[in-house]
Amino acid sequence: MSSLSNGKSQSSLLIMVVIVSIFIVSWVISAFSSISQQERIMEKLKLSKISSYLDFLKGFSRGALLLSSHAAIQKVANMGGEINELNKPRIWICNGDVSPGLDDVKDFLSEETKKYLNRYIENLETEDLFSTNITNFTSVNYDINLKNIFGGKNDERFNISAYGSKINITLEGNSVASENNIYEEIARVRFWYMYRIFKKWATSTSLSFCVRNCLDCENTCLDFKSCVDSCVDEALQELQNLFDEHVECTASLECCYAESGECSDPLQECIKCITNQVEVRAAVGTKFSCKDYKYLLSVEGDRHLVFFVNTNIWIE
Amino acid sequence: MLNLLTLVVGVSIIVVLSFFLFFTKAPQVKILVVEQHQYGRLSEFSKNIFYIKIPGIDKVLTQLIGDMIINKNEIVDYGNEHGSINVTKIIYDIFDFYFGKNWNFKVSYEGKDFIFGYKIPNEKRIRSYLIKLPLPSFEGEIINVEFKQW
Repeated sequence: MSSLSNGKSQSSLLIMVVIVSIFIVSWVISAFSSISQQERIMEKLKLSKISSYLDFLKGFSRGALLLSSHAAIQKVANMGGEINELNKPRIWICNGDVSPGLDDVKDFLSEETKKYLNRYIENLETEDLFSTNITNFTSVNYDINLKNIFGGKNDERFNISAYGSKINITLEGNSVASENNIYEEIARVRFWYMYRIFKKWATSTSLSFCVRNCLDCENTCLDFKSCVDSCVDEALQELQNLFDEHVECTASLECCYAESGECSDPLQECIKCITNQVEVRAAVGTKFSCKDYKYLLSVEGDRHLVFFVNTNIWIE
Repeated sequence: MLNLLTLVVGVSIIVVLSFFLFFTKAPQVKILVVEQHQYGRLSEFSKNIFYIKIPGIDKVLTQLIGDMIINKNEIVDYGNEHGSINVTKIIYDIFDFYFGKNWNFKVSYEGKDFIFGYKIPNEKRIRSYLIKLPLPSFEGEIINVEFKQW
């Protein structure tokens, strides 16, 4: 009897030990698998964080491109469609039309935009956990063509693209790399509208003919200076009439030279567009500027888009 | 007696192990999932502010904020076509849509602080995010926006 009860108690003990062992083993396995599950979740979180940060940097680049474009547009418009060493607006009329071609203006805009864009990229310091490397953009392109520009399609919106930049993000040994190419629409900016209208005016204005007649007039001649002022006013009116009601144009006589002595500014100031030697009886330099009030740019300082052009008229 | 003791000890061990096995992980996983979701919303938004375009004026939110900061005025003029835009109102409309009344952000620029949003509670878990914003500038100026959400 005693041996039977001993046998039973030993069996119970054995069963209990087995059950407890099974649970201990299950608990150990579960603990390890939860650790590896947590590690997997952490890895997934890190990669997700890196990926989100990558998207953020691309968004930042896009915002920077938009602002760079606005800055470049304002600068290039102020300089009459090109950036030159003299830091003066380009001459569009040198007795005849010498206005800049579309490709030239596009190139200047692209270079200027790229310059400002890369300043944003170089100034971007990341203080977060990430180790970030963003390379500069190598190329910016304004997606425009002759047909669209002179057809008015890009009067108020156009697209630009930026290429060549790469982003590399590292976080605790995990690394993600990506191209940072951007294609952005620039809307509510009338740079190409103003270029188109100025171009039309440069080919059709009577300014040159009028000024040349000031010296060769036969009847009821005004003095040379007054005659030139009248011609400039007439040319200004022609220009103003080509624009819509949101643009306001002004003109100013920058210099005036006449052999007769009626105007006495230095001759060289009035004939900057002439490269060869000529006998000049009179010369006039004017600046025309048009300011757009329909939209304002996102730039520092004066946010109006102002397009300046210079003219030189001379009489042999 | 010994058998009874063994039985009691064994069952106690089983119960304790079961508790640790099945019940303690659940709240931790729940917190982790909720945090992951909230963080995901925040990082998604920090990217989207560069893409959210305001209907009718064709400007992205960061552009409006940048113009407001540069002009040091919550009302920003955008020309004859759009007139003056109340940027503060637009900020509140958009941020309230994303985060309800549980957000706050601050920007400092040239001695002036721009603070938007609601009072930061002391008793809640606050998620902070630093957003880099390009400002209208010829020098590539960038500003920090301290964004908090709870």
